[in-house]
Amino acid sequence: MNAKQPSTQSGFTLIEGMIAAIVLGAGLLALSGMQAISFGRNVDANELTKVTNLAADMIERIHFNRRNVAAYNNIDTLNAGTQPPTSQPMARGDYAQWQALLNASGLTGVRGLVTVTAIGPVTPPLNQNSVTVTITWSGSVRGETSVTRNKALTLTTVVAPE
Amino acid sequence: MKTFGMNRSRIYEEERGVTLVELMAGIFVTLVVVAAGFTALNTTNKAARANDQTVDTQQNVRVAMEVISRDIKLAGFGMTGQVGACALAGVPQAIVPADNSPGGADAGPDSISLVVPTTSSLAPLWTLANTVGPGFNQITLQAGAVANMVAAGLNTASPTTAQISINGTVTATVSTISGDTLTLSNAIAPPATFLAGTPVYLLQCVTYQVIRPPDNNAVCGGNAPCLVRGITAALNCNVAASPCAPITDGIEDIQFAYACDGCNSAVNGGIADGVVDDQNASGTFDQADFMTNSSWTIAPLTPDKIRLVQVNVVARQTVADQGLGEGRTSMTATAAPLVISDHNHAADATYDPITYPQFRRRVLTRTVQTRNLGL
Repeated sequence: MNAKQPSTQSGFTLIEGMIAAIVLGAGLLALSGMQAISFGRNVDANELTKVTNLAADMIERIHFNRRNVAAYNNIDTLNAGTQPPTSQPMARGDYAQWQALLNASGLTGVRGLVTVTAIGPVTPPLNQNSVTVTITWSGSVRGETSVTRNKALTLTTVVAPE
Repeated sequence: MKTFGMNRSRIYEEERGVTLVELMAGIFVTLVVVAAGFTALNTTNKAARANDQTVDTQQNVRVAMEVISRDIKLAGFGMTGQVGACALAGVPQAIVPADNSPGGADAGPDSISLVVPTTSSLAPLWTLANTVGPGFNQITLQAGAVANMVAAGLNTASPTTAQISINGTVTATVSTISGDTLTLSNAIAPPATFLAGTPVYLLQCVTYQVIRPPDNNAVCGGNAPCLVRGITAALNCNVAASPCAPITDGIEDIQFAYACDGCNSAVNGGIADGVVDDQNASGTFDQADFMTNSSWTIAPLTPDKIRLVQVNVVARQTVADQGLGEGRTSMTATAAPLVISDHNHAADATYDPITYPQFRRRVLTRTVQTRNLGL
């Protein structure tokens, strides 16, 4: 009967108000954290676009010089010993130019690798080769984490001289 | 009263409202909390906007690169004669390079014109209504498809010089148009046979060009700079009532460099040998063999010898950022003027050292092989 006692009209205490403010602050902090994550993902997307273009660049170069596709096997932009021999001027030039493009991309620790593997039937020979272009780099440290993440992108195609 | 307990008695005794000091303290605390929250909201809002701008810029540069490089790969497409305005010094060409300044370093974006197959994704599709062949000189398309082609630029004057490609396999010149039937100027010899539903492409000469502010002809629709694409009479989109349409916003610069084979009579006697011609006589295939400056009109240096095209695309955000603080601050988003191929952005007539650094830029480079230039 005395359900609406004046005793229930006690308002907020300072402690309650402060706890509410802390909860609100935590929520807002989480929101700005989301922005940081979003920025980080933007940076990731930009790197991925750059690297995809660089890998496509090498695929196009190999496709033009497809008769000498084997010369591109195992090239590594961080190991000058793997560059194609002078008897393969196109492949050797592609190696040097691709290396310069990778180094100019602004990516940390960027490294390009190409492997060429003969595939398809041996008799009759179709002369098909599977070409794999892999680019590895250290992801940017911006974003929600301060740890660099090792990243890799691989494009694979089949090249067959006509 | 005392039977209600100590707590209750306190309330009753002290039910006197709040004092002015208490009220002011309360308002002050509320104000601080609200101000902090609002600052966080404001910063988040600005960050979200900057984020959006960055996403758009990256998307624009990617789309522009994809569209241009796809058309370079297709350029030619079995053309048998001149298509549209794609010619240099009266000679039909599948690629018409247009350097900003063929004599030296550029002070603006390049442009390029390409012969590419065009089609329509809208109904009625540009496909054969009936099976034709072997041996035919007429094709009938889906009802309404030819009207659609005419709207897209198929020349109706008789005899036309329009070229069509059936399934990318055979190319023919259309001599007359009657309803949905196209009569070809030459019969397609057996055994070529095409089933109903085979796609028919119209070859067109499209021009890619960057329009920069001030966009006096309103080609970008008030959104300069932008990349435009269209079929033009003189390979120039920047004209009044332009037939070109903007395809991506924020594209500030496109630069092309071309590597060719059999285009230099000093190399291998001017005979194509599968190795890009050594333009700088360095003995190696290097970046300088990609030519940025040439008129491409003096044989053997003609566009049909182009084998690799290096494409550079620069996009910038469409609106400058406001900075993340309370005020409007101009931040440095591009540290120094970019140098893309033979174009130093600081050399432009419109270069402004104050506003240039305020825009984020994204640069993409890709080498593209031309697939259809008579290899």
